[in-house]
Amino acid sequence: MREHLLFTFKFNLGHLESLVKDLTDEQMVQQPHGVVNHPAWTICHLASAANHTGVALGLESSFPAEWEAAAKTGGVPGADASQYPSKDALLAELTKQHERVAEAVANADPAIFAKEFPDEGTRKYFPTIGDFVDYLLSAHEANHIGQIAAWRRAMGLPSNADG
Amino acid sequence: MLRHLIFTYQFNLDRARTLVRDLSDEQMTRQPHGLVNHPAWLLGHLAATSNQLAKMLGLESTFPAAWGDTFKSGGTPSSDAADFPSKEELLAELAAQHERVADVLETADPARLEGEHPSEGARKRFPTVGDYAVFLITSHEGSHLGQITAWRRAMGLGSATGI
Repeated sequence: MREHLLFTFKFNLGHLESLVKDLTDEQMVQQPHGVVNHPAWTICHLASAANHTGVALGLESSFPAEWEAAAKTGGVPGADASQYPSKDALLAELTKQHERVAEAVANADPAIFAKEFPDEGTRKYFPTIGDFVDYLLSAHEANHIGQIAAWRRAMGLPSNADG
Repeated sequence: MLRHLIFTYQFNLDRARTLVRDLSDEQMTRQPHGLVNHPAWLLGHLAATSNQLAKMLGLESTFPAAWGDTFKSGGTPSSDAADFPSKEELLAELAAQHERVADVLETADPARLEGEHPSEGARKRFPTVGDYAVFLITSHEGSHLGQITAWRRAMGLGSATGI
């Protein structure tokens, strides 16, 4: 089952890349018709979330500290492009986080997934490390990717960069 | 690992309920600002997709035959609420499909999941039954639920978690 989860994790990255490949850095922060979660914030947030997943699996944090404000959850993301790294820098960070998390999941002792999630607040939603990891690698990413797909519609763009 | 994936599948169902619980049947088919995939179509599409997975895993189809054409992929969904089942019917069907797919996955022969996807076309994207199954119960659902999240914003509705 683990290999199928990793397949989906990789699928998510490919899907996301296809949704933003035709966007300029200026477009990446637009918020059409109230759809406030723009692609720049979304990719930054997903890279940060993947980093958190890596930490839950025992890795050191490697997410750039200076990007934490741009990735913050809650509230409305800023619409100023200068607050965000470029699209290419964001995708590079997300890809790097994907690679190290995929490797950590592939090599993890199966016992770690059954362990209680260490943070009490998070544990209310995700009782075990496995629940958290599986959700973060799959549906959490996809949820945000689906928001970008809808954001493209609100922008008046075709459903993906290939039309 | 399977139980954590089933956890994510259940998480998705709970999230679907949360995202639509304050919506009327009339709102369920609105298409604000070019966001054509409305909640009524999305919930029915997810139920139909789980039914397809159930069939691939050896179960009979239980998806209502009368709903078949309404939830086809491709094209633009109708915006006429009369063309769709009620929200309660859609949620009940989605829950029923979730329950039987989770049951069949928990008892599935691992060899079946390692087998190649039976459709040559689908196999190009999802080489094995397991790749397809895990994608459908996690990221495919997550992606469409993310579209409902963005749709709520375009509708001028609040965050579903703040209802």
